[in-house]
Amino acid sequence: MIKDDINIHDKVKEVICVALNYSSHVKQIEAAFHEPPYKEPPKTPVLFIKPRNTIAGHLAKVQCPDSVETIQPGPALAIVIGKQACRVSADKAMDYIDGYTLFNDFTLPEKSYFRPAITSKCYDSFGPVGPDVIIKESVDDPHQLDVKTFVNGELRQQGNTKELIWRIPALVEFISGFKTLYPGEVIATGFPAGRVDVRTGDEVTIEVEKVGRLTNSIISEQEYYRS
Amino acid sequence: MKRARIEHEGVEQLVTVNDDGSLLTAGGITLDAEQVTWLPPAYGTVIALGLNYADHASELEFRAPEEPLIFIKAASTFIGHKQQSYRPDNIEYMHYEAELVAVIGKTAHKIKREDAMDYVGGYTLCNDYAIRDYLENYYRPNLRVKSHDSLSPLGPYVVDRDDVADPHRLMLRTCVNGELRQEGNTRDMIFDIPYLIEYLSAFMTLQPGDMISTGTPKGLSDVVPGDEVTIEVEQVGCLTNYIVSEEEYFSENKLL
Repeated sequence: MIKDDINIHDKVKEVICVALNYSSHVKQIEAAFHEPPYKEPPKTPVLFIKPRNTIAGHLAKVQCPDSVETIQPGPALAIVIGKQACRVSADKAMDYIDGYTLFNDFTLPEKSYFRPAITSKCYDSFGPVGPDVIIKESVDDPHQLDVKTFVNGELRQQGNTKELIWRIPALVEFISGFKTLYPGEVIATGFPAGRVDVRTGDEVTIEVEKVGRLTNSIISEQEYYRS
Repeated sequence: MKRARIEHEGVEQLVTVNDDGSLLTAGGITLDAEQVTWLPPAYGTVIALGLNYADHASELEFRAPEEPLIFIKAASTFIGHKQQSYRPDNIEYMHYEAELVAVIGKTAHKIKREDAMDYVGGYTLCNDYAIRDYLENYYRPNLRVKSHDSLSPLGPYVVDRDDVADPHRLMLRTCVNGELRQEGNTRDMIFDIPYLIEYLSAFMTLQPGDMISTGTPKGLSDVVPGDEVTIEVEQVGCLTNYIVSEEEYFSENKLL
């Protein structure tokens, strides 16, 4: 069931995202986490912020910057906070969630996870969110949902939220332990393995089972700023 | 002119700050600054700099970066002037960082360095506290280090750009309980304000109210409950806040 007919992307000021949260993705790269500059694997969820300039809606255009040939989508199940959450324990976390939506963490390929990834992830339009908020009662188990990316209708990436290393209650507990979450805030829970390259002219749809499909088309930087 | 946001008798308002420190509302009423709650003076995205003073970088045993080390601060971390910040229990080292903040005045996209100052609306201060215990080598400095509740005092007000002769020639200081602990000058920034506006606006459109917190010089030290911490930037102002324990902070149910 859809919570309301307001476009979620109009209400969102920033989105908190979790990186390195799918076991399939982390397995591919974890050997590096024992080497400098990381030295040891992450002990806590690896978080970053998509600021308001990145936020876009369903069917909005996403730019492919002139400096690159391709960008990569990051299909994520996102949670929408329903009431103010400060220092909430994992066993109570679901009480603070209103529902679910989708977030597409567009990014330039990341060479390193050592420094904040602003110059890869914070281009205007790189954070589509929506289209709807699905109330939590409509999704019996958020940790058992297929997550897919389609490019021009063709399935290119697939995972399942059962792979989440930090599950939703644990994320709410960790984040609300230092940062109060306010109603309407969105947390994107991460994206699966198998990064996909997309380019100007492509139509990208991400799908999370029971939550919906979020579609955006990629246009050139020049065209993006002309419109 | 100095512009602030305050709450008075439960109402949020924009005010200007008079030379004597009193506040003038849009309705022409003068308020005593002691009678109001100061709020952060702007609401936009805050982009902060790490290691942007060479002396501070060497203090942390880092080489000065070749490109800006930038991170985004969560909107929920900011508090106004004269508010409480809490030091979490069971940590070893939490320090202040006195920073000059450039507040964007008009929409900026792909701006060249030589034109960048036209897009600055004014200046304010940020005390960009860090909890070093929480550092990890992923997206460093991470959100728990730099976007903790109550640990980013911002304000007290925005000073108009033209009221500051040269933003790259200002003393910065931090005093803890009146004792000088940190001192530097904005002339020692590695990446100056025009450089940062060109760098950032190349990929993100900066909107009025967005802020660039330009980093801190050498002189960090731990602060503990009971401390009164004041950062000062010459010609811009002084921003004070009070460190309390986690228990004291939450005994007043501030965020629950």
